Amino acid sequence: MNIMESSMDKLKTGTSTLGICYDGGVVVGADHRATMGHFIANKSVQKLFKIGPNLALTTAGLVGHAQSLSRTLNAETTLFQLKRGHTMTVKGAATLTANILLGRPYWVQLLIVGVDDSGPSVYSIDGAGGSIPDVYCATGSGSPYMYGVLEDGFRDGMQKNDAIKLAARALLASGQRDAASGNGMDLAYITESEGFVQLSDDEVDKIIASLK
Amino acid sequence: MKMQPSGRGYDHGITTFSPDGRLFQVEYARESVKRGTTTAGLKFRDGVILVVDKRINSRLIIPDSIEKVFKIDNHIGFATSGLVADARQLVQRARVECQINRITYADSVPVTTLAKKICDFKQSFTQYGGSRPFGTALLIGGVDDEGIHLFETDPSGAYQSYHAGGIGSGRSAVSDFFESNWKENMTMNAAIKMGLEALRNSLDSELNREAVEIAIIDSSGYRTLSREDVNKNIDKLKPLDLDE
Repeated sequence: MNIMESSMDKLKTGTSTLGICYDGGVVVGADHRATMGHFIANKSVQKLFKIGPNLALTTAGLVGHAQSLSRTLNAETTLFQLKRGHTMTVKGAATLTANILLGRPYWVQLLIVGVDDSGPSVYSIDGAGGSIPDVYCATGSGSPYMYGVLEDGFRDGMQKNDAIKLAARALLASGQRDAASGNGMDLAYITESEGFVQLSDDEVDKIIASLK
Repeated sequence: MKMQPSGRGYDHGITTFSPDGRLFQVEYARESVKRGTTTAGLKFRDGVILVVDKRINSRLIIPDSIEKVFKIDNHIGFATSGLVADARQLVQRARVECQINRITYADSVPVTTLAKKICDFKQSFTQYGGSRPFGTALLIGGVDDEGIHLFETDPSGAYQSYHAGGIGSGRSAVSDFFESNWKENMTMNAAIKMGLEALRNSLDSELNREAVEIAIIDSSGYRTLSREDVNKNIDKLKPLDLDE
């Protein structure tokens, strides 16, 4: 039995997550739903993790693998900063993550997003350690629906608020049409000066209300 | 202790007791700490302060390249004295232990637990052959749910908890100063001043403005003072009366 088959009855984040680069930063978001087959196992799962002052991780796939990776990455970025006196680059974090995934396969699809000296970037990482940079990216079962919104709405050099609204609109669409996504969303942005800033539930509600 | 030519063979192996029950190699390791730079630590109302003198004796040395005080985790700092290279190994190990605790228990490591772990590690180098003890003493300062902590560790792996103390060549001068001056519930500024005075007491000269470093650990975490802020605090000290 391969790992995919053996995972069918496990807790999975069917999931929609995305990252969007804008002018001066990056927006990152994820839904809240975890499923086991057709059953919604949890309505408030965390899939968006801060893994450093300038770095975030979103996870899709097996919850156990995702949580374990977030703990490991948090420790690695902290030790990196203590040893070297500066934060890890996004490329560095993505490559490190890819190397961890090569050690043994994790059933996950990840985004590593962040800001460093070279500006904002989004890396998508597959379970076998493939790591690809992009200006925007979506993962999980809801990604086809989100890509529809992103292909239509994304512009180079967007402003922060427009990028946050686009992210919310994409997650809202996948929440409506993907059975394994929904139950609200986490949204955050990262800039060089402010670092990782997660929006409060109230702020997210206001943004969603402004779209309607 | 006098360095007699005769440990009579009992100082060759670290694992060999002398007939009167001493481990000479461990005692020699303590000597390397006694030659180390002076480091002072003291508790105040809200946390703990570590003050180190990097002992820079050439204007060609770039002071920033010498590290004597280290952030270990958000809530813990080490100040070291003795062999610097040995200290770095302990610092690295401690940082990893802190992260292991976070991965394993999703919580920061209690300061006492970390002090014991590092001392267990040091101790293992006094009992197994083929290695030598760490020539390093540590001041471990930290704040956690249990309160404010200041530990001193020595090469044998022994540790004690202090209100205020020192390690290195000026240890006794620092301790004497704290013995007669330290009191509970000082403000941070008062404690910084006292730490600097204690350090100066061990030097018998004015503090080197390029060589002093100050770390503060309180409920808002670990931070070091900028060179500018350190010097502002040094300037507040009453000048030494060197004729005394």
